[in-house]
Amino acid sequence: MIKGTIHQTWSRSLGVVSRRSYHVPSINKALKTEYDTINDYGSYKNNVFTHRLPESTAQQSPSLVALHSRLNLPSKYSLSTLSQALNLNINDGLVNNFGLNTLGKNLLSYYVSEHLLVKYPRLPMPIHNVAVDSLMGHETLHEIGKIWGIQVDSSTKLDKYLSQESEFIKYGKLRFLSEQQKGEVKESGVHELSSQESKTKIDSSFISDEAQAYASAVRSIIGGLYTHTGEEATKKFIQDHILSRKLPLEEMFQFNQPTRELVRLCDKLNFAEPLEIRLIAETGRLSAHAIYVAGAFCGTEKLGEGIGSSIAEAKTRSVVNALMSYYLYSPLDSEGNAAKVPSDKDYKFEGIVGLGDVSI
Amino acid sequence: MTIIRIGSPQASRFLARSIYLHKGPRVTGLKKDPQEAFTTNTGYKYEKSENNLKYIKGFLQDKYAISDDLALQVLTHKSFNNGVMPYNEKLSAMGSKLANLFFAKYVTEGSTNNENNVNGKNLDVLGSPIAKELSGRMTMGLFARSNELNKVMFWNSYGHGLGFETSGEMKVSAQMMYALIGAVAFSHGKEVGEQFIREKLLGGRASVEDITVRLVSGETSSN
Amino acid sequence: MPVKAIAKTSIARNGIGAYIVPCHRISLQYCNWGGSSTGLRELLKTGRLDKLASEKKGIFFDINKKNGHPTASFHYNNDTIKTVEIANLKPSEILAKIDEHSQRSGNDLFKFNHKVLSINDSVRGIWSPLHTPKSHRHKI
Repeated sequence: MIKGTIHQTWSRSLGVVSRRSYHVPSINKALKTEYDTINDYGSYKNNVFTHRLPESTAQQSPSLVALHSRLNLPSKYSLSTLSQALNLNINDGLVNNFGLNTLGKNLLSYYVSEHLLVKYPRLPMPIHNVAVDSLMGHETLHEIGKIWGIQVDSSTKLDKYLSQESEFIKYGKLRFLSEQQKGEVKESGVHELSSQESKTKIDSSFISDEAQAYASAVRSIIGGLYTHTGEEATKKFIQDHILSRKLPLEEMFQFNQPTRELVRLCDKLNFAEPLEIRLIAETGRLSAHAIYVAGAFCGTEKLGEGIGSSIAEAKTRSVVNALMSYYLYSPLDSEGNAAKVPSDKDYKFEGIVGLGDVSI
Repeated sequence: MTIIRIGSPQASRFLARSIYLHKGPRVTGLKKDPQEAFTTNTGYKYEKSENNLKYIKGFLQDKYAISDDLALQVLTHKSFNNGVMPYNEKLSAMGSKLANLFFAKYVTEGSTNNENNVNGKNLDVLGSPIAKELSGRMTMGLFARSNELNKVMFWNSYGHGLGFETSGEMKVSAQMMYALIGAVAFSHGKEVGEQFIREKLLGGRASVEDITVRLVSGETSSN
Repeated sequence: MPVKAIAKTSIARNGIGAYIVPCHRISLQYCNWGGSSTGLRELLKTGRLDKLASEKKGIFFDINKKNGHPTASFHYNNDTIKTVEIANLKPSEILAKIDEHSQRSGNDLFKFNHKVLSINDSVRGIWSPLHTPKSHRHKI
């Protein structure tokens, strides 16, 4: 039996006096998991699932075959795994995508983090986290799922029967709605939040079940690629589909006290001379629309420059410019290419490791 | 009470000023004496000394050696002296992701008799508590403690005297462990990083796996 | 907090890295009796459509029999469906229509009279009159 918290006697035997005990996740009862011993990983079996989709059935699903070739997946990637990646249902006997999703999530988070940590080592942690979300958050993965042409299986059994739709078509569609949800009459412009959706509601925005399902399917497809073709091919796939997207990093910063932050940063970097903001040029104060150019200097080094229609604006812009050019720095290797990431072949550590953010 | 002049000779043109450096309990507006701020509650002074780095250097040995600067950064937590010194946040971001990935691959790599496997990999294990906890914070914290890796850490707690968990030592130790993995991955590449986890974290006498098994199955190990 | 983050989603750049054909489904509708469907019936009979479908593997073709003029509906990944009339067209003309629309992005066509359309900043930067030496600046 598995307990949710550390047993008191065990804690004491280790010399731990735990007041706020660490929460160990308990096993999901709905999956009816069985295993021999706790760390005999091969023996785990979720008995709620009876079988995987046979390959011969999967081959007869035109939507599945089309998706397989649209994504340019290797022939080693079996159609049954692809179909499993699209299944989120727990109760229809077919194995769902939970495991593939977990695997895909781990692969994605590693390769996305690695990419960002090496390419932008100085990103402040809040920006780094948002950038990770920007590349692999549910919204982005939802969009990617749509781009891949994944369709939701939203017709009921009755609809399918009446339209004489082949039963195989649904194996190539995203299955997350229960038969009851499919049958609900939809009013345009009105969306009733499911219990899962209302949990994610902040102000007027929420994470829709559909977005979650799409994201899960995309992660599972990546997980499936790993099981069939190994990590190198998966890395390439992630690079092609996820890391190739444009990341609007410079739009993600919101500074509250930029000048103070820059002063602290100069302090942290042990700059010998103090930060000074100087006026570089101006159109003349009596000109119709006066423009000023200010620069943030450390001794004779210019850290940043900004243009503004008042001196204060120019000063602030120069400071923000200095901060941005520090935070968005991207290291190069000895040949002038972007620094290699640790998972690359012949990796040599040539980049830098972020020193941590400054506090105000 | 001391009044000293700070600023290097080259910078003195700008910075020559007399400042009172405060010792003892925190007073708003007073600058802390660096001598005191750079010393942990256990009396270790923040520096690249052999004494500070010996625990993790001994653990890494030559095969996974990292530079002294990086080693000191691994040991420094954000909470230490207001985050003025290089600290381990970015390193642990890398390390925790690598650990999660490695353990997800590790639990699925063995042979299985589950007929619902995907290409020989049993994915049913992935949602189980043990699969989640292998790279969990508690496991890493306990591992760091049993290997004496967290003997010297530069961090601050609101109550150092409180327990392993309550004082935050578990979290900080875990973050230090992730940072250590991250530092090895940064210095030697991902493959060596994974080899490091396999050899040092799973292969040692108190392996991460044993700790997790005991953690997850709580009561069975208490007798 | 020194700096706050603003959440933004990354922007897709189809063709950089991987390319996904935007058209994912083509529905063809024909009538077994009407004369306007002759061309499409011909295509279906001779198997030329099968050949086309096997060339465009990433697209899911479905054929429906329904009374009325024949149509071809193209489903794109931006949630748009474009329906094209193919009544009274010759088989080759129908194939040309399918070929053309299966390569579209699903966005409406628009007139564009500039040399470059880009989401990136200019590599040259913006010219500034204030960064020339004082002696070269424009004098009023």
